[in-house]
Amino acid sequence: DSSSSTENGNVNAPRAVSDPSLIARRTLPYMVDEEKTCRPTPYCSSVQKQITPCMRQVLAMWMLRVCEEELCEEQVFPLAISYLDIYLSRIPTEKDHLQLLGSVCMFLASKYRDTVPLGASKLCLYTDNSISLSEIVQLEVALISVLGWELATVSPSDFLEPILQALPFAASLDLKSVLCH
Amino acid sequence: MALDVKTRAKRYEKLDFLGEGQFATVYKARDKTNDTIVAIKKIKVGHRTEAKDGINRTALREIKLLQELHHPNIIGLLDAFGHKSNISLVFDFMETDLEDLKPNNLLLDGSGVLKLADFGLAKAFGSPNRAYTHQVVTRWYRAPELLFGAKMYGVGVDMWAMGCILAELLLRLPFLAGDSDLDQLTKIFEALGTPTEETWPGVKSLPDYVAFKLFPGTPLEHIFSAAGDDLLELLLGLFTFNPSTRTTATQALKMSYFSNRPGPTPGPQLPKPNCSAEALKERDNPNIGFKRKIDGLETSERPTHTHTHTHTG
Repeated sequence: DSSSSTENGNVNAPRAVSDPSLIARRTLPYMVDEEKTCRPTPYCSSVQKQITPCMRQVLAMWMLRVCEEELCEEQVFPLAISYLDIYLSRIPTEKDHLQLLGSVCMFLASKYRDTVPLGASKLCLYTDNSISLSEIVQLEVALISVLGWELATVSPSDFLEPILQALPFAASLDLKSVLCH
Repeated sequence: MALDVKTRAKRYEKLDFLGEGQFATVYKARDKTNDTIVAIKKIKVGHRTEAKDGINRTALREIKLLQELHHPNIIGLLDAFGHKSNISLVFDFMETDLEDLKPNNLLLDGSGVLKLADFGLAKAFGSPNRAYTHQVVTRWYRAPELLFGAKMYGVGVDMWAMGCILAELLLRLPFLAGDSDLDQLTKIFEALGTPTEETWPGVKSLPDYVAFKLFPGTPLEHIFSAAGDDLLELLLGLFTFNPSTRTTATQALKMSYFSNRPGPTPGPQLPKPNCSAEALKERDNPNIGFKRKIDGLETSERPTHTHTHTHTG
């Protein structure tokens, strides 16, 4: 088949056109409702004994760099962070497992949103082989179960287009460049 | 939907092997908690190279979409559970056999209600500017813009697939059965005529565009000789080359084919797949006249009578 060569799959992938049903005003309240169901509670001082906000920040910065380096779709990083926060708000975790958890969150988010997903072995490399393939695959099933199979959580970037479209002067803007900005 | 695979495995009693596809094996099973019959679709882990990448991603998407979609014409996902990287999905059991819009994925339940199945490649509608891949639709149902490698496409690809399914119902054979992407385009153009910049503005700029011999095409009324004018009008709209002028679902539903009398046979009165024509005749019900759409669908050995049937699903 003609399109099996997808080395830069995420960059060259075909794109869906802007969807009129998304621009409709009724979409926003629905998204706001959805967001409420996937909002994690603060966990650093309650559920977690070892994890501090600073550790979360270091992990998040590392995850952002991996997503950028791998040219992931822009929604992959916020989605991975949302999985991370939901998991940590429910399951006490040792700080040694934090990077593994962050990797698995990216693994799952990338599968969900990227055309060419991040491979498990690539993620191992990004941790300087401090985690193993089997650890990733095992935690994936645990994570998906903790998330209750709710993988399509609403992330902040999802609100951009409907909000921009709802603005009265939206028609005069180049939406693509505004979104990039 | 929790994870405890031991509890789940005990909950379902495997009864029968139903079928096997490229990505999954399907079993008939009994849910012991409420004594209902279900279909369990076990997603294949595949080769070792796939196994190391964990849960099958098309399964992930299918689960998510099915969780959100609650519609009388969409197959119901009852449960999902995982063990290691094996994922099993539990569905309503359907009378007919169990990716994308093609006849194999259109099921009828015991009351004759149509159910769409297999959302492994479906995308959340309302996901702007998100990446798709070319290989989104089984080749025979794939729209020409996908075959020419279009980077931007929309719901028009599903309407093209609808046209192919409708044509297949009329012909009782796949309408455009190409054995490669190039052969698929040839089959399309032989039947419908080769598009030009006039009939499809921008076609020559598509990434994988190749010039084809200029086939004149065959008039649809010659291909679908049993179809009425209203049905031909619908087919013509669905087989429009230019995706931006192709008939949309909303437009299609307003076309006269869907409102012209007589109306369709009510679901519960449709013949069942395992009933012979003789059995159907015995259950003759003279009050239900055969409907025009059925006339169009059945070109030769059509059963001449409907029957009522209590549903078993």
